[in-house]
Amino acid sequence: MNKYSAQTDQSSHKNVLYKVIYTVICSVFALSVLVMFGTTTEQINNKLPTKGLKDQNFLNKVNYQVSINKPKKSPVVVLEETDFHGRPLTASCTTCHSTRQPNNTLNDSSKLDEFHPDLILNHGQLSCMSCHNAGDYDKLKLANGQTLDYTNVMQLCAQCHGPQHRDYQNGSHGGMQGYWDLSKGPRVRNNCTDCHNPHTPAFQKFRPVFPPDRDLTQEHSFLIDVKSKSIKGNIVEIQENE
Amino acid sequence: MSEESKHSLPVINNGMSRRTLLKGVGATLGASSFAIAIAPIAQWAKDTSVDEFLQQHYKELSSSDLDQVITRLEQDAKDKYGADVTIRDHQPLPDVQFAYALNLSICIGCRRCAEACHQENNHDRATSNSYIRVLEMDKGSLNLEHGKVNYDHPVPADDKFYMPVQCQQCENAPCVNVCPVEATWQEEDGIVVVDYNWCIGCRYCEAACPYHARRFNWKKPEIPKQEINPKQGYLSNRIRPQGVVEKCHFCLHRTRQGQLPACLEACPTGARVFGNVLDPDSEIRWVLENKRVFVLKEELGTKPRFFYFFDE
Ligand code: HEC
Ligand code: HEC
Ligand code: HEC
Ligand code: HEC
Repeated sequence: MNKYSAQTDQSSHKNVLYKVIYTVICSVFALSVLVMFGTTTEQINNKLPTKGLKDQNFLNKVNYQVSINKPKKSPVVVLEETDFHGRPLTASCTTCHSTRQPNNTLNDSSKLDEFHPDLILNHGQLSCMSCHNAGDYDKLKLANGQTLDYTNVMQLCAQCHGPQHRDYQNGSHGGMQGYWDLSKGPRVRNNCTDCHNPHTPAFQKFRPVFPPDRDLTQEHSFLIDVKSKSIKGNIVEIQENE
Repeated sequence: MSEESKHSLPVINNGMSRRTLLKGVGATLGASSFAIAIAPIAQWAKDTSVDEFLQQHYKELSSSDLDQVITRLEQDAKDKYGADVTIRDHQPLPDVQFAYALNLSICIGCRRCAEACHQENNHDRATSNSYIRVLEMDKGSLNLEHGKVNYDHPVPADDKFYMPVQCQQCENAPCVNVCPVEATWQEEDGIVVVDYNWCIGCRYCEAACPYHARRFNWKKPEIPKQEINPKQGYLSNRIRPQGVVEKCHFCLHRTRQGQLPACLEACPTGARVFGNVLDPDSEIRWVLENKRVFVLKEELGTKPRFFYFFDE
């Protein structure tokens, strides 16, 4: 062995030593990060394709807004009478209700015989005044008695539907349109009342559109030849719940 | 895994030309199955220009080559369909890894997503093709084999739930592994793409996909001029030639510009969540961290980027 190669040997020993130290430092660091943010990092790594999944230091450049559809300031009642253009006349709620004694206990829409003939309430066991404001029919009311504009109706829904509201705020309920990347464009979101009528909130049934191609259907009558064990997670629970 | 074992066919080296390759495939398959596999090519080859046939693999095209190809394709759309289209070559965005999640407690099976895909991606009108299939399944049953696709009654039906299935953009994609010509691959942002001008239409990928997410163009897509979506991507929704395989590409011509996929925007129920998992504040990340998500056929080790979940 000549001098030269001996030297390189030595330096490669050194390299190994550096590598060991480096690895130790790294793992200590990684461990402490894990302890701090542990569960989340771990969870994601289990679920996701591993490639390239590391937290970036996101400088979330948000150049555009998320806007939420808002209903009209306050609803009106469409009357049978028409104006001279033949358009139906409308009346604001206070037109009548500022002079009427409010009925604070009504919770059954079938008892409405004087007016609001078509209105159906089918929303838990709520009474009209769970949401409407006896002091001002052009406004809503929160559980704590606070007056609320119709435009902020989501606050009303949120107070009784916490989980859905949380999901909504995190984008997994209620849908959206526009840009996932707010540095490139804006996003529009639905209001709860775009999808749920406050009086009959159950989501409406749809007739399915766009029947699949018959050839396709026959080709794989369908399809996923999985055994039940291949599906992990909540389906199994759903099974038990049903 | 060695290169050899990854491919079910003898590995095709880059040096091999496309013509020798076709021969090679024939040799390993035996004459009759080769004839079947290759039939579509024989069919459309006569309508194919020499330029088209000799076009290089997308990944090897220089940017000026690609410009030429795109100009030619735009001109093609004008000649064959009478439509003015713009084809762009959308590149993956830096620091972006896409993922998709679908809330099965919310989906009602209305198939608006499949319809939106059909329109967005310039599918053949006559066959009502779409990259999305919606399965109607019995609640409390896991028998996906009996999932029904051609249901036609108001939805959601009691005792049913609905599961839209599209390309799962697997990290370990069987379709990519079996492609004998490397006409399909996974991009940096996780989207598995197809080079429609390189695909030889052998349909191995279609057979390999455990999710039945790939579609084969049996004929030249027919779309009325005014219905053609003119905003097109080279690797996504440009009108595909006959005889090639295609699949969902997460609407990369939209999503690589920051927009949401067409199927998500069309969903009237809000069941779909899409975004960049590397962004800790993203909606998709919230779902992955806070909902109990699962993937289809996990045991196959395909590592999908498409997740399903139920609200608890
Ligand atoms: C043309 C007059 C008129 C207008 C306008 C009107 N209401 Fe009424 N409303 C009535 C009458 C009359 C009743 C009592 C119906 C009954 O008991 O059969 C009533 C009942 C109600 C009740 C049940 C509680 C109670 O006090 O009786 C609510 C809540 C209510 N209206 C809300 C509204 C809202 C909100 C608007 C505006 C969108 C509105 N109303 C507009 C006439 C009106
Ligand atoms: C869950 C809360 C809630 C309850 C309970 C409720 N409402 Fe409403 N109501 C609303 C909201 C929110 C609107 C505004 C809807 C809109 O923007 O179109 C509204 C609108 C109305 C309107 C005007 C629009 C229409 O649909 O005709 C009338 C009238 C009305 N409510 C009457 C009633 C009566 C009567 C009851 C009880 C039988 C009742 N509401 C119970 C929340 C409620
Ligand atoms: C005062 C409390 C309260 C308010 C305010 C309220 N809800 Fe409800 N909601 C209920 C109750 C109680 C039920 C019935 C829950 C059940 O049956 O388990 C219900 C049920 C629902 C359902 C399920 C309906 C079904 O049949 O499946 C929806 C959707 C809903 N609410 C939406 C809304 C929306 C949207 C708003 C705001 C406009 C709202 N709720 C405001 C209490 C409320
Ligand atoms: C894009 C439409 C859409 C919007 C916007 C929307 N929801 Fe829903 N919501 C749905 C659908 C779809 C379902 C499931 C219906 C079904 O299972 O048939 C649902 C279910 C619900 C339920 C019933 C859950 C259960 O377990 O039965 C509640 C409560 C609810 N939503 C509240 C809200 C609230 C509060 C908001 C606003 C923050 C909101 N939703 C916004 C579409 C929407």
